[in-house]
Parts: sequence; C-alpha cells; structure tokens
Amino acid sequence: MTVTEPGIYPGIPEDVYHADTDLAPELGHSLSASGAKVLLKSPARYHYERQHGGKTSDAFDIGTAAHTLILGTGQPFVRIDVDDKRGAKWTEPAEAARAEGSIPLLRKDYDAVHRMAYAVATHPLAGKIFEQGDAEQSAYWVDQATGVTCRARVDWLRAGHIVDLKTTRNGHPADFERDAGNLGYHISAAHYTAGIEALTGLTMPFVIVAVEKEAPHFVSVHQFDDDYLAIGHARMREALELFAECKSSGVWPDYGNDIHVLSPPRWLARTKEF
Amino acid sequence: MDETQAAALRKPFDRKHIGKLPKGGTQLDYVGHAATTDRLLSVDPEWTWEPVAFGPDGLPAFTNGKGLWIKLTVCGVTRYGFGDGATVKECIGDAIRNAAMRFGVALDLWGKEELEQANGPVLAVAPRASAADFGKPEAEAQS
Repeated sequence: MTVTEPGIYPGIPEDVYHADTDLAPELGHSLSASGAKVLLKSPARYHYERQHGGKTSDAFDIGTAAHTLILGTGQPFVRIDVDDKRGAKWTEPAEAARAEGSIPLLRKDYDAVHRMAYAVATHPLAGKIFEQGDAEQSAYWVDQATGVTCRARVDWLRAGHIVDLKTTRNGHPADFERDAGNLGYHISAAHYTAGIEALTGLTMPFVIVAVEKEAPHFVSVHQFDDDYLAIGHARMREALELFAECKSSGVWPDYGNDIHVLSPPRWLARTKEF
Repeated sequence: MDETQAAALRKPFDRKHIGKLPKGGTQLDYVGHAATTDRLLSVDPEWTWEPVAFGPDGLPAFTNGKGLWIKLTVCGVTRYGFGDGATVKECIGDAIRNAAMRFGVALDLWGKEELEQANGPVLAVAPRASAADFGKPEAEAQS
C-alpha cells in the first residue's frame, strides 16, 4: 500500500505504519508524535531508532494486545500457557509466535488483557465511546509551516472525537495528570488534533480512555485543558522545526561534546540529609 | 470584555503609528510593539502576558530557540500568540503583536496572506468533550 497524498487511511497494518518506509514516497519521511518525543530528547536517538527499530518491552506487548482486543483490530496475540519466561517452554513457542507476526503473552498477561477489555466494554462511559467510530485510522498531512510530512495513528476516530486508548499503571486522575505529561500524551494530543484539523477542517476534542493494567482494571476517561494542550502544541512545534532542520542538514545531534554541569534538582536541594 | 473595550482595541491606528515592513519584495503596513502596548494600556491598564511554557531553568521556553508562545490577557480574556525574531526581545514584541491581533489590534492592516504567515502554526483549540456527547446518536455528537 502506498500513501500518495494527505488523507486519513484505514487498514494500514501497524508494522507498515510504524516502519514508515517507502509508504509515502511522494510525501517523504514522516514525523509521528512518538518520534517527536524521542527527537526532542535526542535527535541522534531518533535517527538511530529509525534505522534500527525502537525498543520493545513486556509492557508494550500487553498494551498492543489490549489495543487489539478492545479496538477489534491490530496485531494478533497468543497465549503461551506458562507462568514465567524462563526456559524453552517459553522461548520456543514465543519465538514461533513472533515469527508468525503474533505477540506471545504469558498466561497471566493474556488473562489480564481480556479482563482489561471487559472493564472497558462494561464501563458506563468508555463502553459508549467505543460503540461508534472507526479503529486505527492512519492520518498523513503536511505541516504548512515547515513542510514536514506528519503522520498519526488514531486509535479510535468518532464523528467529532479523537479517542486514544492507554493502558496504564495508574488511572487516578491526579496521578494520570502527571504521568500524561511525563509520557508526552499532551504532545500526542496536540499532534493528532492538528492533523485531523488539517485534513477535515474540524477541531475535535482529544479524549483518552485509560485502563489500568493491574486488577481490578479501573477505567477512567480524560481530556487535556487548553493550557495543557497549548504546551503540547508548543513542544510539537519545536519538534517539527527540529526535524526539518536535522533532515535538511543531515545532522542529528546527540548530547554534544561539552562537559555538562549537573545542578541538584529541586527535590534533592530540599532534602535535609544528603 | 464589553463591546466598548472590544471596539477600542480594534480602532484603526493613526498613520503616524503605522510603519513599513519589507517582506517578499513589497512593503507591508504594520504597527510596532510600542504602539501596540500603548493601545493595550489605554483599554486595560492591567493587561498582562505570560509564556505558555517554561524551561528547566525557569525561564520562558522557546521553540527550538527561535519562537515563543505566549498567553495575552486583556480585560480578563486570554488568547494565545506566537512570535519569532533574532533576539528574545524581538520574539516577545512579535508575540505580543500577534496575540494582540487576535483581539483585533491593527487587524485591519493584516492581509489574508500576512495573517496566515503571522499566525504561523494555528493552535487548535478543541471544544471540551462531555460525557453526554457519547450518550447521543452519532449525528448529534458534532452539533
């Protein structure tokens, strides 16, 4: 499949979307919100991960499986009927599953994913949110200020709402408010909102459905206020400008060759006993 | 903000306050930072601005060192603006002019093209979602 012009494309396989290789030759190498977050920390890291692939983790696998089950589309996953990942009883079937394009999950993780899906489906608000709409819509557009091609994969696109599904350690609103900033969800929200607006002319609210990974899998629904979203826009703008500059110059800076002076963070400075 | 204040902000400037800005082979009319500040003071002596984000050093955060997002508050109403320039002072002045334009200050001098250029990237301010949105049929959700 080839993306030839800006638009919202259903049905692009997840691995093809993330690889971003030759998918949109006429639009060029595109920047996603995930890529922007890595780029803002280190352009060199972004460049490396683009060439060699990003990191994977157990948490990532569980999140991907939960997305597949809740959204009804995505990478398949299989249950490996063991309690831990020690020895051949895990590695052999796990490698076979990976070779077939499936995510291998331990018995407990597989069961947790199903409980998470049940929690979302039966939550009075989250269940309603996923009753209407389309899953995994890939959006491609060109940022007018920089000429950079952008991409975003919207978990769930309703008429009037952009919905992002998150599996989380803690969905309590006070904690999620902080974690969302640390994980750059506000940057994603800004990016997705800008993209859908560029493509449809509609400025839609960005809603996050968070489901906890630990039992009893509480579900909470969140949205950023204008101030939070504005910071996301500012950070995304910074990333777009940085991306354009790095791409143009071919230079993807790392941490530099100077000596960095480390000052005590505020929490440490307040500590009485060092 | 009442109608009188809104009209005062939008009132056309005297020619002596309008300068010429060379851009793209032409001369664009513009109102400088000082005249913009004077207009804001005349309507709301307590107007203020603040950066949208701060860096780890506690100072206003610039976008890749080149631009500044701000929030401008006039008569209790806050709107965003973006400014860039070669120096910090230029960025601040440009951001205030840009945000003030969103209140109508010197808006008549901004042509459509200049408006798009000066606005730069548009901040998408989405309407707030409500739980009730999802209890409605799809056709009503957008209204």
